[in-house]
Amino acid sequence: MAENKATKPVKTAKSTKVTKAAKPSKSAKTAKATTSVKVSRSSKPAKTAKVSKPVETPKHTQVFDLDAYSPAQIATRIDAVAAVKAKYNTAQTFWMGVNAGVFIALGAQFATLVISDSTLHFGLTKIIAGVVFSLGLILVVVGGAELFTGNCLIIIGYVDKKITKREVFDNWSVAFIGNLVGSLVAVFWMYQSHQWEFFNYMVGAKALLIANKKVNLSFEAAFARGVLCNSMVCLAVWLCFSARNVTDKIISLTFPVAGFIASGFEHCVANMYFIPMGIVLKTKPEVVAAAEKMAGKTLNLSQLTWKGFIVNNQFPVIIGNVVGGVLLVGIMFWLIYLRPKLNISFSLKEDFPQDKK
Amino acid sequence: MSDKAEEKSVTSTSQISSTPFIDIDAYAPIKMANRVGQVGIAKANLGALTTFALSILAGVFIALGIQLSMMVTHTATSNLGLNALVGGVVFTMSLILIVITGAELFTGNCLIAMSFFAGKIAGKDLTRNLIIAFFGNFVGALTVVFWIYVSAQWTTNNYLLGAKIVIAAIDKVNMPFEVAFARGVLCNTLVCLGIWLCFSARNNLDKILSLLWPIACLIACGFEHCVVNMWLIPMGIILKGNRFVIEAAERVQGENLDIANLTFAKGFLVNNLFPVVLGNLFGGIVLVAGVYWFIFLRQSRK
Repeated sequence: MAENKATKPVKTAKSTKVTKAAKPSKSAKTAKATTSVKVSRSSKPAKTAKVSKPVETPKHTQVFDLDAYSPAQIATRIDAVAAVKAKYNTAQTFWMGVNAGVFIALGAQFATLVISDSTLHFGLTKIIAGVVFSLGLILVVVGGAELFTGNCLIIIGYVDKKITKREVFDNWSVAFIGNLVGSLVAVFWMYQSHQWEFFNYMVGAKALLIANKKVNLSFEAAFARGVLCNSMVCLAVWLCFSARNVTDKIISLTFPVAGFIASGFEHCVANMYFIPMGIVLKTKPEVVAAAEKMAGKTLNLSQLTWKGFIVNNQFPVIIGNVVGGVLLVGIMFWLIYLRPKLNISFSLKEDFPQDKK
Repeated sequence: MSDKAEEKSVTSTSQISSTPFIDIDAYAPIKMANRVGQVGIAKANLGALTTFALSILAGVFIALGIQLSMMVTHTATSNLGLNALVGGVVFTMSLILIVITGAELFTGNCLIAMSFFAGKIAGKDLTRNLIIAFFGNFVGALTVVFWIYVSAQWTTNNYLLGAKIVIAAIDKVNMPFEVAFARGVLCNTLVCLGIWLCFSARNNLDKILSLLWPIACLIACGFEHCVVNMWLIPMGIILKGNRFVIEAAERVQGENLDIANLTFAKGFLVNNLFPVVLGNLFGGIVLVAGVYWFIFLRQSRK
């Protein structure tokens, strides 16, 4: 009887398939039945088998690449997507921007409702809000929409010279305007639905308190929160580019998105829903009364105006979002994975060789 | 040397791209739009009897989901938002059943309008499918009303479950037109988006997870789904005849109930179902199917 250690020293690219094929040689009978090559090899003593030639892979085995995309592949995919996004015409980008605005607003109102009268402790309430807020990003990523903050990643296409500066700014500006329009449309429908009356006006009160907190941030605080927020959003989008299926996408984006909402970071598109909703609800005395009862003190709503929305919140948050998305995630990953070969790497070898044609 | 060869084969992407390629990635939005278009054609061409039977099933599934949701949340007095979330999550059962078994839901079928906008099916086919689905859903929901009534499940917890159903039904029939319409729009936007996400899915886990967030949202946020109301309001109408249920409901509310509007013709059909159906149609056909058709399929018409 043969020692079947002989089948071990096979080293080809498709080694996994070969060992699989060689397994049946544990009993000489099945080995005979499978391939004659193996039988002849395995019938020899172990020592001589080591020097024998590698076994040819049977022709019918194929290697399918079903794994999640590797980090280097993610970078190339985002690079390619940037080119695709730049090719959309203005109407397409705009309407997908509107979609994104509505989706994020739906997530935001869902989060507001769920935590409106929560008596759980503060942190737990926040994380639940974050998990339900993922609705917005799930709809954006899986359903197809142009979110301004997520689109910061297409800077990779620009620095990789796939798209021009003009195309980047067109995409950003049109997506941004679309997001704003979508969010305001959602504010209109949510106001019409009178959902803010729920639970004795507590839903409206919560929305008012959230909005009031956002417009009273100092410039640096809003800026820093914007940076942190969009780093996490772009990382969530980055993770989604590794995904093969929808489950991968949903699970991988839930964690960063829940994280940034729970941490109280500032997302400019979410604020386009939160703050206008607060401004609209400010006119309702019942809501203000409920909010004051909830906060336990009289509220100073003087900053909760359109001016407060744009100057106090949107301005610093947008700058922060762009810095976070473009510099800290986009350029960073470009430097790691896609930078040109002449680089400052100390090892002077290509760490992640790319298939660039 | 062989080590080097192996390392190269693992790291280089050129090796990977030369291997046989099968596309197992989630469908991209443009492909989703095409798939919705094709499914729309198939659905519009189904035989009337098949459509009707499938839509009865959809009505039954929705009714089972909403009664579960009522059961789970019926005694909540604080943390109402979190309870609503749990109610929404359990309701997702209905849409999971519908999507995986392929039942015909009136609200979800609004997505068929994409095939209509793309010029693949006639407006007549779309209308026919929606009308059959609507009546099928109605029959299915009323069947469950019958079974749940006979099962006496509404006596659970000292009639508190029945009380919750009656209170919810009273809220729904006393809504102003614009409010019911707006809630209908938001509701069906979410339903259709949930189903839209399912078209990206390759497997059932994908489908379930992509339905979970939108569907939980629409029930938790109290939006108006016409098929849900086809179970909830008739159930309330039947239960209002029961003395114990009304007593329990008045105990919960702390005041006398105004059940004057809780009638089949005026309260249910006119006050609630009419605006909600209009809102559902607007949300599904215009805001989801129309917008996605505009974005992805408009050029392909030329």
